[in-house]
Amino acid sequence: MNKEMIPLLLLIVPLAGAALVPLLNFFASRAVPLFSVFVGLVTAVIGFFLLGQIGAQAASFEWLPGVLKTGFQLDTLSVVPALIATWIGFLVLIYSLGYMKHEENLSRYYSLTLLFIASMIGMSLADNFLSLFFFWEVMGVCSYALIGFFYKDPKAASAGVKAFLTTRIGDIGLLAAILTIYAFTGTFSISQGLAEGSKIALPLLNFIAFGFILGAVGKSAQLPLHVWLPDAMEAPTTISALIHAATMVNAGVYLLARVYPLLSLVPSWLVVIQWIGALTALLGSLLAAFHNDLKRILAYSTISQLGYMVFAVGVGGVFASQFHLFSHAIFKALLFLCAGAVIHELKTRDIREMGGLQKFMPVTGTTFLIGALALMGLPVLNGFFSKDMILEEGLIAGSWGPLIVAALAALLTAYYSLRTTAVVFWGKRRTSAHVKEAPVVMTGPLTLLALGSLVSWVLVGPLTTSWIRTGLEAPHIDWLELLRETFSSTAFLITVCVIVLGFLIFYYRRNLGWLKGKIPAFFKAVSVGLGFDILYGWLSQQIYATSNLLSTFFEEKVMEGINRATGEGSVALSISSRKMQTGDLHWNLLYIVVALLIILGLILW
Amino acid sequence: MSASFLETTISLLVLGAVASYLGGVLFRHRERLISGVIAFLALLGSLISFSLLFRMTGASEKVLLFGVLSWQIDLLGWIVAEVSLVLGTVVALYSIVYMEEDTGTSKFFPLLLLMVLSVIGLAFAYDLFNLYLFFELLSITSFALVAFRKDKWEPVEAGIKFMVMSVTGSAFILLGISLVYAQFGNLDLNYLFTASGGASIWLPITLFLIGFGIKAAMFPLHTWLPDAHPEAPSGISAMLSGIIIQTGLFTMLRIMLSLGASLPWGEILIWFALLTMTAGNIMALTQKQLKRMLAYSSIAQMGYILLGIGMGATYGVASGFTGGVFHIITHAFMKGLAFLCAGALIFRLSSGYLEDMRGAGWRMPVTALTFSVAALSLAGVPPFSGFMSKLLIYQSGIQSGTALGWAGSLVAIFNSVLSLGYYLPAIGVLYSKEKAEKVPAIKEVPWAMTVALVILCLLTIYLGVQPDPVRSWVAQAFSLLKGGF
Repeated sequence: MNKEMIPLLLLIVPLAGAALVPLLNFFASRAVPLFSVFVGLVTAVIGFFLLGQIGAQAASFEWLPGVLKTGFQLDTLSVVPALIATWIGFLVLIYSLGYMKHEENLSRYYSLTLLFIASMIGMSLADNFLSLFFFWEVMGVCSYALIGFFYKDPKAASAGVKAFLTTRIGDIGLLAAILTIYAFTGTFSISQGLAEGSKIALPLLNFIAFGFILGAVGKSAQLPLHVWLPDAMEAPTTISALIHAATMVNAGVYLLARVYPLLSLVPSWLVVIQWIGALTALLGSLLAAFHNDLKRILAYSTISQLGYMVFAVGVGGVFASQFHLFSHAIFKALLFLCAGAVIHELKTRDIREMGGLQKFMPVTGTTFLIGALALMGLPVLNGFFSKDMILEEGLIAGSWGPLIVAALAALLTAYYSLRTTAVVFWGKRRTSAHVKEAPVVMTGPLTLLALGSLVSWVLVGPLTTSWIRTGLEAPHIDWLELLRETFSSTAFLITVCVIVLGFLIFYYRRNLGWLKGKIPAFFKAVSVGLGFDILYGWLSQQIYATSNLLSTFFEEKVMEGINRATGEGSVALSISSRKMQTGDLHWNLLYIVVALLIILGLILW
Repeated sequence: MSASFLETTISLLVLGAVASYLGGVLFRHRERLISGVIAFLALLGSLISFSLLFRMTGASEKVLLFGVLSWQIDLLGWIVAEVSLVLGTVVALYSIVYMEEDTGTSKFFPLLLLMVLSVIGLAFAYDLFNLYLFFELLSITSFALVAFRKDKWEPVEAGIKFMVMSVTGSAFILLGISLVYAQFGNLDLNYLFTASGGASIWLPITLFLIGFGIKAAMFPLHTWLPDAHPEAPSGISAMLSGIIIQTGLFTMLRIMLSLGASLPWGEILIWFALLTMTAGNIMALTQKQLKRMLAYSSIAQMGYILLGIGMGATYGVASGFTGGVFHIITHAFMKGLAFLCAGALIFRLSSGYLEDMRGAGWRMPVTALTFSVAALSLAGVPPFSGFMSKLLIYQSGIQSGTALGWAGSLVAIFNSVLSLGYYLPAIGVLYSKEKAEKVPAIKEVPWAMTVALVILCLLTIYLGVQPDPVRSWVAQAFSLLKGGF
């Protein structure tokens, strides 16, 4: 096989799968889940071959000569998110076999999931902005449809709409940035556009950078466009795992990393990115610490972890951000799938109704603990190394303000990770429901992911090697060096401090109960997500009401009036002019005479 | 060389007409089949030999056929004649099945062949006498074919009406020709082109505009058309609407380009074009019979062709002429297709009323789908051919940069929107969920008919997606013209 076709194949196989699933549903609807898993497996296997293609030239196709040439960009930066989507997506598909067993409309579910994965692959491998934007949008549509998968539940339906509309704001920014680049460099190609970016005047560059940041903020649920992500928890848990670990939210971080050469030309925006990231990290962890809905806790934790990645891009640690993205994908998929297993058994998402589950669901409980420890960044788990690297980059850049905020967030992260694990799996049982361990198709992926959380950081060596080989900037480190450097760095001290503090807060949380009475306003604010939703809800209501008023007037009075006048006028004219068609030869001949006179008049006049 | 190809074409048509008639008469019990197949083969043969002529057409070239017939061949004439041959061949194939209820089909097919022959004659004859001769041949075959179902009253009435008006037109033309001859003593168009400069020939020009205007259904001379076209057998409706009325206009164009240089005939055409298309569209809106609606739509489409040619003649914009003649081509195929689809529906339902066709699309998928393509193309919806040709016509008005040009284009665009007002309901009727009384019992028409529909449908789509090289041939044909030739 032609090696240039591997990336194309990686994209086409899941796309074709997505297209074939509805067809298959006609003939053998029971085979749909297995078929989808098979497609996922094939995609995952092709993914392995793609590893050998990093840095290689891929086939490209000229759609519009001179304007649009699409192909694949195969550097480590683009291949890693694509492979995360492929492999985590595959695990999620396997897990879905058990999790979605009793649901309806499975062909819709699997088809959209495959499309979702395919669009993430297409997005990250795209070598030009137009196809990047195309897949970016396809992802948006898929997320809308999958978040609202249980469309009969009004909450799920509106969450889908909310996700779509909120990310849309970012999409506008992204499109504006892409078009501006095209207008000034005359190319949609990412590499050329970035290379020629320095020729663009600074004010415009500011605008472009703003557009990209807006796009990333929307897709990656950063402050202040994070509101869609917690609501998106109405989706099936598998989809939540996919959105949080493998697709959707990674896209924003990837975009920032990809256009970093442009962003670095406008340092003021870098500072903005740092603050956005740090504040998002803090906000996410704060809200996660005070929520009782298991999936919402995880959602806020994603927001917070994405904040770290954005922060890392802001301080120039592009590799660190992608390394954390890699780690996060693994442990967050793990956490979500564990949560899914628990929710599947207990039919509730409120952690106050859980407790003591470790005894009944040992595999789930243990793997969740591993995930939580990776999330809080306990040494030798993957989250520890990547987060440490981010803090280290922050230290090197010397941006103390955001760094302190980020450290504070890390402290809260440690607290809520422990709290969640403890409330759900330890302590005494608070439910009488009959609970048993999840089936193998579900625990299998959990175990794999838990293993991944433990050891994935070892891959740092090959990652940095190929990172450098494809022309990106990063120091080369293998895993031994990583160990040595990490444990001897200042950031390590910070990490240890915050974890210990977080643990202490967790341990003495009952002694801190008096706080609740002292600052009730704070707790109330936290319980409504600091009021973002209320504000946005009010705003959109106002916009909606105004446009409704306008549209009522414009549609029903003006446009409808014009429509009616044209339509009825034409028909009336038609009916009256039919009288001309008498069918009487005398009249017809008279017309000839009339026409003769008219033409004579015109010619002689 | 080119003469021999043309001679082959003509001989095939003439001999085909004779053989088709004799075959039909000799084998009475297989009349339709024998006669039809002979006619179809003759048309196919002449289509092939005529297509071979293409490579030899460029700037006009005089040929003497059979030692007596003096013609002048050029690319423009070739295009019009080729379109009529293609359409005629498809119609012959279609009619073999379609005419199964009729008697006297041994006369139908020879008349069709002669009709095509007369179009070829009009495309290449270059003196007024020859033109008149073929014009009359065209008229006579048309009368006979319109009134072909002579045992019913409506076709006969329509035929008579058509004949009276058409003959009136011929009288005007003949009078015009006599006046020209009286003044110049010669009827050769090349001679007239050089001789007529500055001469006052307003009366013959007026008479020609009226005479050919009747054939071309220019408002208010169109009144025969809504009766004649729907009453003819559907294959003939397709021929009449698809190429015959355009031939009338084409002949007018030839004569005007040679004779009319000193007179504002182009501007007159623009005014009449706008009237014609608006009147046609407005009247089509409330029609209850499908073929009648299509007949009015033909009037409207003639308006577009007139507009393009008028723009080209008045302002000298190339896209006007190109658009007008390209619209003749695209319209021939899409309107031919629409009429053949209507015929297919009538063939199964024996009713021409839209009311009785509700839901027929579900039972006759090929017919309904191809009809939808035709209707959308007629309305000028991309990516079908009608869009491409109309686009050129709109463009010509705008390129002229004058108030009249802009206004003309805007009126034309508005008319296009208006025309959706009857094309879309027609499609909607075919795909209606509730079915008319007879519909559940019908099935798709036989293959010979669907093949004809599919060929025209593919042509319509092809010319829309890939207008070149046909469009560039038309443009080239006009750039080669000197005067009328």
